[in-house]
Amino acid sequence: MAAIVCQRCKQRPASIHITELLAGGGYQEAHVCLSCCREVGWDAGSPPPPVAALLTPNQSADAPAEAETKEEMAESGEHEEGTAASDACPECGLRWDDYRKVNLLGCTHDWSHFASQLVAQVKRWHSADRHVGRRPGEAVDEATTAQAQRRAELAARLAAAVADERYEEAARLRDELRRLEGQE
Amino acid sequence: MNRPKDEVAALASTPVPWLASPGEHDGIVLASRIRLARNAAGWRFARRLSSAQTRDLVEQLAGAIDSVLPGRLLRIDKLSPVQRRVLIERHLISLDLAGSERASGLWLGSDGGRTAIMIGEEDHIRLQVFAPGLALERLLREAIAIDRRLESRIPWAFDERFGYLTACHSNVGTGLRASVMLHLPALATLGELKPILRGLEQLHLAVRGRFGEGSEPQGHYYQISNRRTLGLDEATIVATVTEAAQRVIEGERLARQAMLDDEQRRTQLEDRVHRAWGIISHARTLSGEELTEHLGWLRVGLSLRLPPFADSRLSWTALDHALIAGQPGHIMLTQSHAEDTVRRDRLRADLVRSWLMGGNNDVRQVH
Repeated sequence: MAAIVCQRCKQRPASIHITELLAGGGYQEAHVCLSCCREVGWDAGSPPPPVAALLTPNQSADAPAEAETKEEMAESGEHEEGTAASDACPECGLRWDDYRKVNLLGCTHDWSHFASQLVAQVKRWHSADRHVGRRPGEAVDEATTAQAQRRAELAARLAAAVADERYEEAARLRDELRRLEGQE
Repeated sequence: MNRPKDEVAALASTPVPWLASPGEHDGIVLASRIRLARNAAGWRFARRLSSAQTRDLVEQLAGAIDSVLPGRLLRIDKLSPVQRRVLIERHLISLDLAGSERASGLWLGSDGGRTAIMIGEEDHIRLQVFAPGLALERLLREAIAIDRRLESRIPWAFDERFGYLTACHSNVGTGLRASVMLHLPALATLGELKPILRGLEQLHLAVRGRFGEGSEPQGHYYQISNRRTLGLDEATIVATVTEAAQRVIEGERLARQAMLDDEQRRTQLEDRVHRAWGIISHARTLSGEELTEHLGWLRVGLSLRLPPFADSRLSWTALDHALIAGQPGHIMLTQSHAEDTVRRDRLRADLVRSWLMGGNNDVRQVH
């Protein structure tokens, strides 16, 4: 049987397989090699690196994937491709380099002017790049809440089962989560 | 008329509306908070506005909020450092807003601060609703109801792809932060906290100190909140934080029971509670850190009905009150000559004794 190739470097065989649970249900997987894990700052014995960090291209090797605070976000020195750093927003004059220092945009137009860089930032932070929540004028309905509670309960039980290495139960819970998401 | 000095001093003398221990969870959950970040369409984000524009924005937003939410405006930039500290200690404003010299405000709902809106932080508004115990789902409905009234007055910056637009990518989408404040001394003592917190990270939740971003855990108080605001709907975010909090609460309950069931651990637990009570009831100076730590063990003692609290008059209301009113800003604003740390620590020891022992310093009264 052919070995799976590392999803990050696309050269070496994948020897590490990571399953990461997503808040609210579902999961994402990464099949990577040890060298790539080390590139994102992972030490053997510590919890596995986030899947988003492993699968995001052009990420600085020493950047933590999910910084906690604005200071950490700024210190992580994340680099993005796209609009040149010197290309200031015509509305507020902000340059991308300015944003990287303080993680504060200047105006709402920045969200379209720096869209390509921001999509990369947003994907890394939220593991998603599209709003699925409430829109102006909408309420939160009871049916959505009930479904969300069921999903959250299953996701938490799945996380506990994986942590306790109860893999049979984890597989059953994962299937249940998939079914639930398929019904929505 | 806006009289910030009187308003904040009056506030500092009243209980916070979001603490009502022990609640359903033996005092392990202190409070829940829902926060929504919003920005007015057509305006730059707060940090890119001129001083004049910032003042104009704060006035316009406060005017619009006034028409939908009964309350009053406190101009943060006109408050003294001590008054600002009181607002931080009551969790009404962030460390970031308190440090700003630009025009900024706090809209204090007439429900005594259960609803509060920060104006002119990194986002134009941060709408917050608080409640005692684990109540995120109800708070979400309340926050959305207020937001719907607000958006009929102020068109928010909204994008089809990114949702509600915010100054930082970490808040975009729903702009929702759902937080629960927990007290976890038994898990911490047994060394079981770290694996649990790692599990929360798996669910993309953040664990911080009592005062949120940038604060250190003190007295085993922790704040659990969602990290992701985009790609999940509001109900899912709230359900995820609630479910995780329930599991941590159960873990703390089991850890407390495990300490009671083991002779050595039980002795350790009783010793901590007795020592805390000994210091609180006898010390003549008490630092803020000491107070937070010892109140925590008194909460555990009262919850488990351990001696010396098996048949005591010590009340949860007094413990809640001391946790808030014993903080430095509260003492400085409500007491005379409390700026000096040594004098303040002396005042704190006297005040806490009177709050917890009803003015009677005879320890036997609570045995």
